Amino acid sequence: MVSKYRFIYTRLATVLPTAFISLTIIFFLLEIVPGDTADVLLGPGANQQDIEFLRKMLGLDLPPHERYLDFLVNVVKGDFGISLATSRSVNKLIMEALPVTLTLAVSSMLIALLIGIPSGIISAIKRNTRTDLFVSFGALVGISVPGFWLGMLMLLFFAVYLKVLPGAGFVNPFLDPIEGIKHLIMPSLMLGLILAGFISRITRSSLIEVMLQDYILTARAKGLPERIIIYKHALKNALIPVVTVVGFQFGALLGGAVIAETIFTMSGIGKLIYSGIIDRDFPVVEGVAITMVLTFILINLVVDLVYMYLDPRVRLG
Amino acid sequence: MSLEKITATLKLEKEGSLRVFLKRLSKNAKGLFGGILLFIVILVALLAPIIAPYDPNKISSEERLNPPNLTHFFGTDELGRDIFSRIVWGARISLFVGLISVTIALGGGLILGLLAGYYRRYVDEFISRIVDILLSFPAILLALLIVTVLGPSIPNIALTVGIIYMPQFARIVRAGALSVREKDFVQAAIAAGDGDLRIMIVEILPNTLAPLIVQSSITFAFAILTEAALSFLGLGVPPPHPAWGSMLYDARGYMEIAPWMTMFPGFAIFLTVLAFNMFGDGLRDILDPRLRID
Repeated sequence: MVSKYRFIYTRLATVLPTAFISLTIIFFLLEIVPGDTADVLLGPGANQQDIEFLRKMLGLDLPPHERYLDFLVNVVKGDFGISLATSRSVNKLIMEALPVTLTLAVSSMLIALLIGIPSGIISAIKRNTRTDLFVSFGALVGISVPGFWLGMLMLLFFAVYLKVLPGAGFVNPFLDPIEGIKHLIMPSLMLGLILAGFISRITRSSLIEVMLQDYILTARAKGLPERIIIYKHALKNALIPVVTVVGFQFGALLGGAVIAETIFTMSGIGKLIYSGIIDRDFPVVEGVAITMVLTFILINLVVDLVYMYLDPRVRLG
Repeated sequence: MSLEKITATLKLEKEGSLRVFLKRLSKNAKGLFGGILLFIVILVALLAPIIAPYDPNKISSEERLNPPNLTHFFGTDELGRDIFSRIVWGARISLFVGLISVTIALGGGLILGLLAGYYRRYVDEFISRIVDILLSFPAILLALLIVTVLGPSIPNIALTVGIIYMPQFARIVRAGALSVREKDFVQAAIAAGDGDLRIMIVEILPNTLAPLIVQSSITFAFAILTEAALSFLGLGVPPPHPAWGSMLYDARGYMEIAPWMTMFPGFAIFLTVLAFNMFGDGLRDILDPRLRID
């Protein structure tokens, strides 16, 4: 049990440096963007005196290391400043947008798992048959389709031609389940189907690999029915790599949200950071980037701990 | 020369033979199909001036938003430009961005991975930490941030995509380097007084080649998708270049009245990415038997 706690401590100890360096990268990336907040606020053609005055007011005239410290202090306090485009608190904007994106990410992940894992299992069990060929090709198509194109095609087909699904907006599925789900179907399918392709491929190859191991041979030799071998013995081990991928792909979903929310006009953090970049609204870009990275680090931490629970070898290693 | 080194060399020579490779490829349906598709895309890109019937940027106000017909196979866009010609020329942009970004990712990943795997200890600790952190950024977020800094242009997009896929290569090379670092043939080379650089390139690098080639093909697919996604968001290849993603960006405003503007460029991206993925799968089967399970 000692090693189990040591693993948890070691893993937790990596969180802070990772978060710290990620924040530093975000700060310096935005630092080297030409033009600053004062330029954006006053627009082109503003006189130099006004710009200097505003810089002083906003603390932008301070040397970089002092601004960097201010930045870190503000992150720790959880204060991301004021949006230049809307004059609203960035915290508030993120708080309003985050539930939209998380709902979208979770529903996409559900679709991905519900399609990806069973199809991967079927493909592995019926290896090298026509079924496998069909499912594997489907997965290959899934990982090759550009998400935004799939989104546009769905929008065209279901919203424009058939008019069965709403093409824009977000309704909280907890407040209005029917409308909520209707609004979520297309964006979650767009992100979920692609992810399902990845998950299906990994489930397949992982299950095939496990099925070739000695303990499965032993189980076969004992005369256990194939069903029990697969579902009771093989699957638990086969799903371990899938869990890791799910963690990593959650980050991809947060990124994919930028595109899905843009196509389906949903006011999540993906749309927020996109508008921030287009409007050069630096506090918003900074705030959302930090939120995304920290969310991602947190999710990966949880995934690693689940992984540890599933795979005793990690604990001992 | 140690026995391991000799067998490794012999194995490499055998694997490296183009004829053997092509023979194996011809027996691998996925690899073969992907390879043929890829060959066609490359051919289209190379022969763009011959294949494309029109200048991809020629604006024609009388021919705005024409549906597909005999003179314009894929129809025309909102400025009357021929979509077929734009797609043909767009192949060049996609492949160019893919090639440059894979080269950058591969080159950077090789250097980082070899250093980490060969010197280990602090060097490894430092590089692996950076790699982990880069991997902790969602790819498209990192791409958006870097493009915001660099500004949208074709070379900048290639550089951006190259940077975001570098960590994966670094990981693969590091793992390969670590696994052979203690082998006799490397130790022998160290004992013989070979320089570090020589050992890294001559002894260690060949052992990471197979997974690297597979990764390159897959990354090529990702790179094309990422470039298209950035262009689709209006942050990638700037107009009037006929990038497939930018064509879809333009199509957004005309989806209802000109659906062909949406259909064809997207299909071009899909086919090209599919080609690279299939080819990558085939390469994996042929080059890396450890990864092959069926």
